[in-house]
Amino acid sequence: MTLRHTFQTAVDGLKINKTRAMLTILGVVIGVAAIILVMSIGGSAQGLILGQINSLGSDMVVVQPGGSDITTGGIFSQTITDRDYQAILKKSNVPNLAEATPEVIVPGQVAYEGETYTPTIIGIKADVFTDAFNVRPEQGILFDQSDVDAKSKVAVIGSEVKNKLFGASPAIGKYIKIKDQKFRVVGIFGEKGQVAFFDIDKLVLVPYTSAQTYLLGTDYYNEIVMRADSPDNVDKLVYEVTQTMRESHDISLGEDDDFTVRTQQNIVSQLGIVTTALTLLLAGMVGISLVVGGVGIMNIMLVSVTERTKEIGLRKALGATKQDITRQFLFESVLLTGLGGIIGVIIGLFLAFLISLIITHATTLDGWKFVFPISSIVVGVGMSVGIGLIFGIYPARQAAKKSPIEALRYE
Amino acid sequence: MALFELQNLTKTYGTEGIGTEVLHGITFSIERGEFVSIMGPSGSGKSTLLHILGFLDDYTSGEYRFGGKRPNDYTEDEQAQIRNNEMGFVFQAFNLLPKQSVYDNIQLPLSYSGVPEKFWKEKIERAIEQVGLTHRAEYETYKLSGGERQRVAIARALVNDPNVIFADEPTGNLDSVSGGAVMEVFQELHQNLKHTIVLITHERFTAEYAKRIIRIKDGLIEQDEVLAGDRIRRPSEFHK
Repeated sequence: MTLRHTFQTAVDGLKINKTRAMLTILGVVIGVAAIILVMSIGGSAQGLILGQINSLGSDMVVVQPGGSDITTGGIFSQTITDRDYQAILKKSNVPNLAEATPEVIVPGQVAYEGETYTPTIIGIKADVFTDAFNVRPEQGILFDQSDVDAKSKVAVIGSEVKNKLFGASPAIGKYIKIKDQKFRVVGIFGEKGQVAFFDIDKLVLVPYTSAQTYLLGTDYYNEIVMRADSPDNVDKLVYEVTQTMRESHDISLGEDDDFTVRTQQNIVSQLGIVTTALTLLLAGMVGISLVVGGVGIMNIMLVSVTERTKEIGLRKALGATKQDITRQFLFESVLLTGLGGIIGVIIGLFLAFLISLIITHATTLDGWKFVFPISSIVVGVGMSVGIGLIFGIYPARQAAKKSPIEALRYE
Repeated sequence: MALFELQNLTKTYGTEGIGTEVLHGITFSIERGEFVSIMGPSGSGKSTLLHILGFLDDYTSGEYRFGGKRPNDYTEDEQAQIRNNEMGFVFQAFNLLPKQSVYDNIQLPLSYSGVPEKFWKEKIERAIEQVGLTHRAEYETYKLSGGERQRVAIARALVNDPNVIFADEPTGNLDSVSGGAVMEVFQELHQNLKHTIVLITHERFTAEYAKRIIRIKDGLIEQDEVLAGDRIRRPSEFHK
């Protein structure tokens, strides 16, 4: 029997009981729809998270104290100093550097006329920070290099800090107290929320020199943040910074680094692995429901084979070989599951699109994009066809095994 | 060489020793172009005999040759091919695919044959014409009367130009008028188109449409007679 006729025969066979055929594939439809949904939503979520992290610059490189070996002290060590920073700033040492800033973290509270608040206080060069995290003050200005050089007591604050301390009254030009030192507010960030690692609304930025001198009394940095002149040059920058740091720290050949150079891309790829693993885990769990759907199909196909014993006998009497019968029933189950897969893909895509619409319109999640999961469509339809083959083979064999007279006698 | 040769054929159902022997040693031969009735009461083993002749069932001992060759000379698939190419089957219960058209039902044996598709239409239309159902070609078979259904079954048996047509109680589910019409078709196929026909029936009346009657009782041949020309029933007599 030609494939075309086998196909036609299978279609005719399924047409006889359309309602049952539709009910049979329900399991596969739901399974595939769920897979598509999970993959699409998972893809969107991953895109959102990675997009957010990328928004703070795929060109960002950070050097922190402490090697990969924890015994060297981690971020509490005091090994990164201005000497390292100056070395990195030299064009001859690090040609691919666009800009850099030291960063110090100041634990403590801020106060204004009896109101206190515990923000994240960071000593930094403000322009590098705002470039890297793509934020600008809504009111006022940023402090600049001259403030850093002069160790000015100036601060740029987040919107929540402003609201807690000042309420509705203006803050620009007012003096807030950080550890009993008065800092003049020069700029206020607009409401921005979480950007990567920082809640911008809860930030207080001061010049790192001022923080070291008046707030910390130290001369080391927690880290140095750098940006490459182009995202393509991040690897070069990492190499250059590593070499410069080794030289600056007098690390001889064969000795391990006492610092760590991290890139945004490191973090992105690690997070990518985590979200992909989560999505796959979910998809795998959903896959189990597909297998359950497959068992349902096997059941129905076995019932169908029994019901159609007479037809099988007739076909064999008229010259159908075992292979013809096997193929006919296998085609039926593959057609069923394949159809279920296609319907599942359509439903899954529709739901994923709907959910994406709701998320983009009803929530403030910026950067959520509907993901059209082409690979999972291929996987979904492929898996359902595969399940049709696997769970169809046993009923098809049972059908082919029937002896023609037994089958013809069957009432 | 005879088309069918049977020598002391037996058939036992179940395990040997404790099984039931249905055929106790059947010997006869049928020539190409004969119209033979195998007649006997129910339980006489005539259906079993037809199944063996049609390569649908095995026999237990003795010899059976179809066209000079034993069924065991063929593989299962080759047997299916012989059923397809050289044999046509007409059953008491018609065994049509009810939701499919007359045309599609008749096409069924062709789809399992090696006949190129371009010849199918001509063959199917000729078979439909031979049983007088041209006006019903597109009807789904469940919409047809019993007599018409059996004629579809005959067309299906004919379509692949078989060497022999087996008919197992073809009038058993029909009233006398439809039954007569069906027997008329068989007689025409035999007389005008020289088909070999082996008919199974328990009715003497139906058996007498054939030129030769083999009577079977309790698994043995009771009588094997060739009817004189004036004893062969004519279709018109079915009505009486």
